Amino acid sequence: MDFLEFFNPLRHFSQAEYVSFWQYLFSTILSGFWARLIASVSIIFSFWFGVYRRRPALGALLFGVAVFVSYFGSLIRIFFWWF
Amino acid sequence: MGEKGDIFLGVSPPPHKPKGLVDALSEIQQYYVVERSGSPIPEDFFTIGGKLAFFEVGFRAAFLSGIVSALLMPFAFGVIERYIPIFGSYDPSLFDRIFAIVLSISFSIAHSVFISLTGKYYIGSISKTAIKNLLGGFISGALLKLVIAFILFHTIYFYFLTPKFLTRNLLKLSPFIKYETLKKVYLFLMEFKPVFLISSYFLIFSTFLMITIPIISILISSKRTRKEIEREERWA
Repeated sequence: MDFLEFFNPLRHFSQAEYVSFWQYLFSTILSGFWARLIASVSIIFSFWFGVYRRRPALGALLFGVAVFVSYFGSLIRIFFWWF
Repeated sequence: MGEKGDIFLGVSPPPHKPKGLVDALSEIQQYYVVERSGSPIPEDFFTIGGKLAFFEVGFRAAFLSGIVSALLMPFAFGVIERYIPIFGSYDPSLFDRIFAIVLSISFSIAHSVFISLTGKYYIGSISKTAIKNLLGGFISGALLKLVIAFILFHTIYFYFLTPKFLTRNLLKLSPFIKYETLKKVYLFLMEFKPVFLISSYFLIFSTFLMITIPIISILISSKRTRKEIEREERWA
């Protein structure tokens, strides 16, 4: 069980630190300019790798990143509004 | 044991069955190289199983990529109609709206462009048969996806999101979720539901694009390759 406890983030950080980390992530990477930049670069590179370089797995992964960055911040916001 | 001077009758191996799009493209490339070098490949080289394997790869690619696009489409129109936030904002700019649409169709368009790459090899009879089967499967998969998604979106609009159905089912959640929250969900879904109808009609347009891109591209690039071959033969 000690091994599983290692994965508990609250053992390494305080709850306030942990929440502020996620808030920081949503206010920087998952919204605004950086989200637009990361999502645009991901979609361009997903075409580049998936079609031009013929590496569909990498293309699909980058497409997943683009979808995640575009909608995940918003979905989490809806999720927290719901509960 | 064979002795010196014996004649061995060789049997050409059956075509390798492609497992995915990359595999199918590599196979077609090989057929093209063999046919271009002048080595004859018998017409019966392609068994029904071989043809079906190419059809299946095309079908699977179009169906799965189309389903991903169909699932993202209500999100894209939700963003445009300002019901769903994108990049953390409920007030999308023109870039955000275009990006939401591009994101929703890009997965299936990428597959179409990938299929288009075979156009360069649409020359010999075996390459042509392989490409025709791959494209046939791709078109069938895209059309089946369109029919399923169209019916699904209409069912959501006309059945699952009717006031009667929604009220009855949301009230079942009242012991677990606050009444105010359920009311907000109800109002959101009632406002959001036209998005499913818009999405289902936009799907027709995106499927049309998905089908026409490889057809046109294959026609153009096969003509180009044919001209190249003619030019090489003239100079040889």
